[in-house]
Amino acid sequence: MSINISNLFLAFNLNYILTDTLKLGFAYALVALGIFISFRVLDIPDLTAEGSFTLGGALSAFLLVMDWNPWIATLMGMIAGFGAGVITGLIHTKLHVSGLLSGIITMTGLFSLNLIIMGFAPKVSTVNDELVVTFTEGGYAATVPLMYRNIHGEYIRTIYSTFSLYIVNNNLRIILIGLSITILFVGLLYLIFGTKIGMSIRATGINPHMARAQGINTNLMIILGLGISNALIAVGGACFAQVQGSASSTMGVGVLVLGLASIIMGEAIIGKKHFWQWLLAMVGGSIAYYLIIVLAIQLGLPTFYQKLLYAILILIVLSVTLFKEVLTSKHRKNAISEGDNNVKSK
Amino acid sequence: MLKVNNATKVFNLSGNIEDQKVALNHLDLSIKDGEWVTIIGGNGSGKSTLMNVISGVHPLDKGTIEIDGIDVTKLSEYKRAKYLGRVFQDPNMGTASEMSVEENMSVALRRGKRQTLAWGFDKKDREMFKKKLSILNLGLEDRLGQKVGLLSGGQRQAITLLMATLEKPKILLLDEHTAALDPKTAKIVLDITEKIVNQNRITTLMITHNMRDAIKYGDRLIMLNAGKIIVDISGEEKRNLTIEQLLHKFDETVEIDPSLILSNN
Amino acid sequence: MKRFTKFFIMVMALVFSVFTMVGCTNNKSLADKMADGDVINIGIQQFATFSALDAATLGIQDELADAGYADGDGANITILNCELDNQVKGAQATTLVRDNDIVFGVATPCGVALQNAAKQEQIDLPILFTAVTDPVDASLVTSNETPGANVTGTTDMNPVNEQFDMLVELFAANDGKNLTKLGIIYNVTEDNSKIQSDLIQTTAEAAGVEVEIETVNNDAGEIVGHVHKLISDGCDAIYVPTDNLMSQNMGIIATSADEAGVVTLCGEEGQVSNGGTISYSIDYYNLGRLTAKMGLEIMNGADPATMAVRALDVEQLKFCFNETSLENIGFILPEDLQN
Repeated sequence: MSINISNLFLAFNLNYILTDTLKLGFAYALVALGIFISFRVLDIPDLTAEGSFTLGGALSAFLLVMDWNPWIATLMGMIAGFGAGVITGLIHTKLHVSGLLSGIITMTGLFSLNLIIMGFAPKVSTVNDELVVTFTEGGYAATVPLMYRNIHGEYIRTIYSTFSLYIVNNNLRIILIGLSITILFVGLLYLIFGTKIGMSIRATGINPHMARAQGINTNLMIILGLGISNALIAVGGACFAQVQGSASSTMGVGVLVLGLASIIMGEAIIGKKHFWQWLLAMVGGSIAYYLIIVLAIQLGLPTFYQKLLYAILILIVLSVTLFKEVLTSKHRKNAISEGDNNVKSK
Repeated sequence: MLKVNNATKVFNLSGNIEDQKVALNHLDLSIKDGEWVTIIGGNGSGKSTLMNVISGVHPLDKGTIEIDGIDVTKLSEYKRAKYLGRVFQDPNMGTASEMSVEENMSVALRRGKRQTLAWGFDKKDREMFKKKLSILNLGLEDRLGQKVGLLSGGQRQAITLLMATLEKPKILLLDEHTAALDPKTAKIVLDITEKIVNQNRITTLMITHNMRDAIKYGDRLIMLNAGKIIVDISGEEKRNLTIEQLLHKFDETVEIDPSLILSNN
Repeated sequence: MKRFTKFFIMVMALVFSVFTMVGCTNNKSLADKMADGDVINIGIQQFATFSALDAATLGIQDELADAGYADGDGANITILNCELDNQVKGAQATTLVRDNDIVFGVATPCGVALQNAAKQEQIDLPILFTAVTDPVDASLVTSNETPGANVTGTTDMNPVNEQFDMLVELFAANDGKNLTKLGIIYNVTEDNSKIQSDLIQTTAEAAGVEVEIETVNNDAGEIVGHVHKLISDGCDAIYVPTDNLMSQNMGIIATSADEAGVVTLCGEEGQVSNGGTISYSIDYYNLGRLTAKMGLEIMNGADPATMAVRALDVEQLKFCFNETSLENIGFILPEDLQN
């Protein structure tokens, strides 16, 4: 596989790169936002992510096959994700298990639960114009395909089927809906964390001693925070399944690393001085990171080198940030020594 | 106003006898409304433990605590917070470093009240924060939006103090709150403390390792040793106290057998 | 004196248990039982509940029943399913080899488990495997032609060559469509997929068709990028082997290929029903029947050591296609495939 730089400038390819990146990128952005809440705001290394991502996808896929309204099906996925986060929070606060281990416990349990949920979804096919609905034996399944018909014989509608009369181009529609959902959640998060409860959650994550001294029920805040975090990740999973055309037991593999890498990239590129800036950085970081993945594939980089590339890339991004800081402080140090005693940080 | 009855706290009760540590030994303490008590004692005398059991960080093994007649012995730390204001020894512990000055103060504003989905703080609140901060004379009223983590230790302690008294607490607990500051800043913080406590007549417990300060500030002085109160001086006697007299008291050190403690003595 | 008594009792106990264990082995041989018309004990171990494996097990039972060995009527058939649980698998295998005259293992892990159990228990009973992609690689047989011991069976190795020939036929039946380049996509962590990819690559290149391979790093989110790379590099058809990750994500593969008018040639039927265009698929039911046929031959005196591993004939393969996909890409089926 040779590196094909000339291909990059073909309009055909550019179209693929843009659409692929944005279609899944917005789903991953939700995951990054969710992981951001647990890892950054609450300062808890919550590993439930891979389980709740799949949970959101599996549950919504099952409901879609059962011909539920796709938005409600996605909402159900979100609620289930919230529940998963609450369980992790309970294990952590009530059973005094470390945050890391609590997430692992929930994630492990979810692995089985997701298989069971997917086992509920029947396979629907038409034989001689008659509907054949087959339910899974054995009680579990590893996939729920969304390409065909729902239980009433119609083609499965996803959230991305909405407005199909007004926006005919599939890809454009998916991207616009994805963008709207992301903007919605970024806005919601900004509002939530500006409220009293939201600030209590933030305080809990930054300084639990101070939080308790100010009358905040830190256990409750942790449970709530982890719930919100995993709810977001689950919505990301539901969106992913609906773009991808199926939910599967392995869909969650790698999302945690992807989310963390997105957070790092976003903070480095966009910065986190203000809270709203930090939120946007999460979205920007995920799209940037996924874009690099798509580019690497299009350029023909051998698969087994790809992960190495991502690791090096994250290192480069981190060192650029460090470099920037060093440069700025050097510049300011010079300003001080030139007799300016009132250097205010800009 | 504050009644500590028969307070006993042994650490490592479930461990070996050698590992057990009697921090509080059937301690009784009664404090009147508006009284300012300074607490001194050697290392391991139980002063911090006393403060921690009052605030609920550690539960008592035996005994009760009453604040204004309300029995708070079984209440968890965050539930007691509405009666208390606290400033810790570590300047980092009292504030949330990643949040701004006004965000920190708005958290304090809600101490003890229900957490709701109402907006964090509004313009009225911000005006009030500005006014309160200007009393400190540290220029903080112009830095409301700045992240607390960028401020100095003394500034953070001052803010913590303000946060602890934003809503007048029933009891103000000061746990060696100037110990980590340089002498000049410590004096500034203590002056602010005196101003706030006296202006609002707040019932205060102040732990200090500085005997001069213990004598200078407050109406009453208590010395702890091995979990018991061995000196309790107030009024005229306290005002006339000298450091030499205090030092004499420090010569008493006795370790007590834990098994004798938990019986009904 | 006391020490000697203790020692004596221990030795007696040891001798007694050895005799008991020896006495517990199955006395009558399979050949004798067959000669005397006794009820035969047959065991089947299945690895998990998948439609393919379920079908194979059913096939085994049906073929046996047709030959007069149904459960309760000429035979005692025990079926155990370890449901992917590797801990339970070993215990089940041990029970089956102890209590039966002949056993079947459905899927590689079970074939191997039964083989190991028989070795450990030192029981020499015929073991037949099915739904195993590469028996030599799994050390079930020394070679496919000459298994060499008491283990033989059938392989579900993908009929890759037949699938490629069918693809050529499809293109030939459609004017204006040419198969100049074949893309292959699979999960780099799945060995079975690489085997199939290598095979079809050889066949395609021998037929003068260019081949491009894209591997995915065990990550569902990356699949679409790789499919689009194959498409934009000019592939006329994309081959999807029987790869677990690809099978789980046929939606995005099929959609992307259909949009660009590219044929999706699949390794098995399930992928076609989830959007792939065409496939020649192993019919696992028939594979099970074939396996049972071999078992019957052994029961009637054949030697498993010289009984070559079998696979389904082309006629027994299932041809399947997806109408919607064909419509989307504007292809019609050649006549002889239309039945």
